[in-house]
Amino acid sequence: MAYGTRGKILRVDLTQSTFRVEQFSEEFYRLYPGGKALAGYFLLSELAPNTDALSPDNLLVIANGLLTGAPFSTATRFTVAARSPLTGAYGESEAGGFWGPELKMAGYEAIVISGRAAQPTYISIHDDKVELCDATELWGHEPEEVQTRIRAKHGDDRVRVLQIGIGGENLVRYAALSNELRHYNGRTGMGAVMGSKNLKAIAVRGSGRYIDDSHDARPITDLGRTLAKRVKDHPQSWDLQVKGTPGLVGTLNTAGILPTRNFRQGVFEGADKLKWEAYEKDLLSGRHTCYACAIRCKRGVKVNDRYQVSDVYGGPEYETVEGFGGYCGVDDLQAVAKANELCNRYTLDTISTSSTIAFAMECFEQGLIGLKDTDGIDLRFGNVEAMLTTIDLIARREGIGQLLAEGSKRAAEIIGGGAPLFAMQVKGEELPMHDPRGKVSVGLGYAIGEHGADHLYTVHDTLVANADSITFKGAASLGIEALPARELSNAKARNYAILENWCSFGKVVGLCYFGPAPRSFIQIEEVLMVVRAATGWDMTLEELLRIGERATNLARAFNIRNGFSRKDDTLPERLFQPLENGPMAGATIPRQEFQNTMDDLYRVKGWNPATTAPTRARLSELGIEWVADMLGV
Amino acid sequence: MEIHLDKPIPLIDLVATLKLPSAEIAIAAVNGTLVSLHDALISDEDHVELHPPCGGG
Repeated sequence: MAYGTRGKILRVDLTQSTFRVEQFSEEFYRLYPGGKALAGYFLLSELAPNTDALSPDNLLVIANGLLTGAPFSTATRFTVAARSPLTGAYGESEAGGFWGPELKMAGYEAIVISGRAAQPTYISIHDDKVELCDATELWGHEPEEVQTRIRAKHGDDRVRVLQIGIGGENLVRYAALSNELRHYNGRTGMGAVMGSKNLKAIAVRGSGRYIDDSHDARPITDLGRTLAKRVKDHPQSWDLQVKGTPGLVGTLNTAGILPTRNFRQGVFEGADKLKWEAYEKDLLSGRHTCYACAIRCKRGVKVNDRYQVSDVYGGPEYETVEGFGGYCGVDDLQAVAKANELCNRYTLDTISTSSTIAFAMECFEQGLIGLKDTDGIDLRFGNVEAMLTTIDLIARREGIGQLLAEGSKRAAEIIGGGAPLFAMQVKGEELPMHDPRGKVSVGLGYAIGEHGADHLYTVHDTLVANADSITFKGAASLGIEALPARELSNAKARNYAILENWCSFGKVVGLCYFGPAPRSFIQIEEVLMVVRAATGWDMTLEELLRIGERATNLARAFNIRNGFSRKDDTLPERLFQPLENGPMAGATIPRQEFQNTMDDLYRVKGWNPATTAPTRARLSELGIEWVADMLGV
Repeated sequence: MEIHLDKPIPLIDLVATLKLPSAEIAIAAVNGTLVSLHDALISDEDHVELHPPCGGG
């Protein structure tokens, strides 16, 4: 068996309070080498269509990638997946940190959780020793206290804890999971699935090593040393280290595509107060990182001023800075940090939380909801106290929070009138802080992506627009072309498909989006080299891309089985309308060109443009003809 | 950084003078207006912004 796995899956049935370990073959793992691929396999092959996402029947799959825990930068990620309570589609979210590598060292590739515990429970894993423990005394408590108590009970401060806060307990449809208090599987409501199973936490301790003595580990350890030196020499990794992700605020504002006031505008007049320079001055308490990663893009913050913000839960990333910043019309960085802290204490996805609040703000300003609906909260853009109070209400499902905990799509349907036009979501998942009117591949991803609107399905257009740039040249071997950021064309569809396969591959093997080219500093050929070293398999770049494509096809098949169709692969109407301000004022997504490019994209992907289902021919090429049999195509 | 200009110059000349890698500049703006790195002229007291390409975060 390859370095990257011991081939073990831990099955936990919470209803029966039982668990067992399954062993899979190397042949199986070569098709589904972790993360998103393993999750897609289990959800598609074992979950009945139209299973209630919050019922005991839903499966919660937590899966490491092949490279998770390998000793080089960005090999940190793990996937949490289930049918999403937010969208009804395939739900998935990745996180870094330390929990995934610890699970790898404990000897497990994935945990597949079914059923519902009779009372609050947590799972304790220490190598081969697995226990289901009573969490009644932990239920309702915040992550810091829960982590402290679990570590004290096991007498080990190195136990890694993956957990939910009250957002997950209260089944907020976009509740997140946190690990080590600073790292989050944010998207698609996986925390609510965990809460519906009465599962508070999974505590892991492993004594193994990623590398054993049966293989030649030098390519992996050499890459670790190389990247530790290269981090300061490559402009992308160095930019992430110096500025963190908040560096995007200034760039996107200058470009005129900083999502502002619910995607109405592309320039926020208060952006200077949210930029990374202000962040460094007003908030920063330290720089942090994930397992073995030299980039150190994570931030710690501490505030003792207008707000009290603890440094326990990690600092806001770009998505959060802008989500609770310009997107809600707020230019107070301390308030943004407080909003981030609240979401992290409650384990709420900061993207969906901020987006749903911005949706409510626009509904309020347009008179679709009023003070009687908000219990007197003046929920206008820019009202900091209203924003912070609403986060609290969402986590507790009280007052207006009961409605907004359902997510913007459901809330809009309940409010009625013109409210659906203000819900910036696809398939029910709220858009992150990237405007496709300035980088159209992001829009293709929002529309066609398997779990709704997300920004990490593909590479953003500006990174591969200039053939002379380091970013483009780093990824040229994938077979892409340098194309203008706003071009919609057959060539753009082809680029999208290649880069989606590459990004999907990263989610399968456990690499962070900030690792490989073109986004960052690991060359394509280096990725191939470490996969070969970790497996002993004679892999080609084409096979790596097929791994990513296969995983996406599994998720697409899951959605087809759950009733999703072409009408669900679209964008919010607002993105076809002009931006209101800034240098991109008047810019739209051209509707017909967009549809034409989507048609091209289905064909490039080997999917039927009418039904969006994968064709038997493509599924056969990917080695998963059983999926064609299941779909009847 | 402040630089005094006696007369208008092409923006790309400024980039060359500062030894900045022009291929790594994805977004250029003068006084808040997006410009082409290779076509724009700049004058004294103009506010110039140059940004690298960026992706998800």
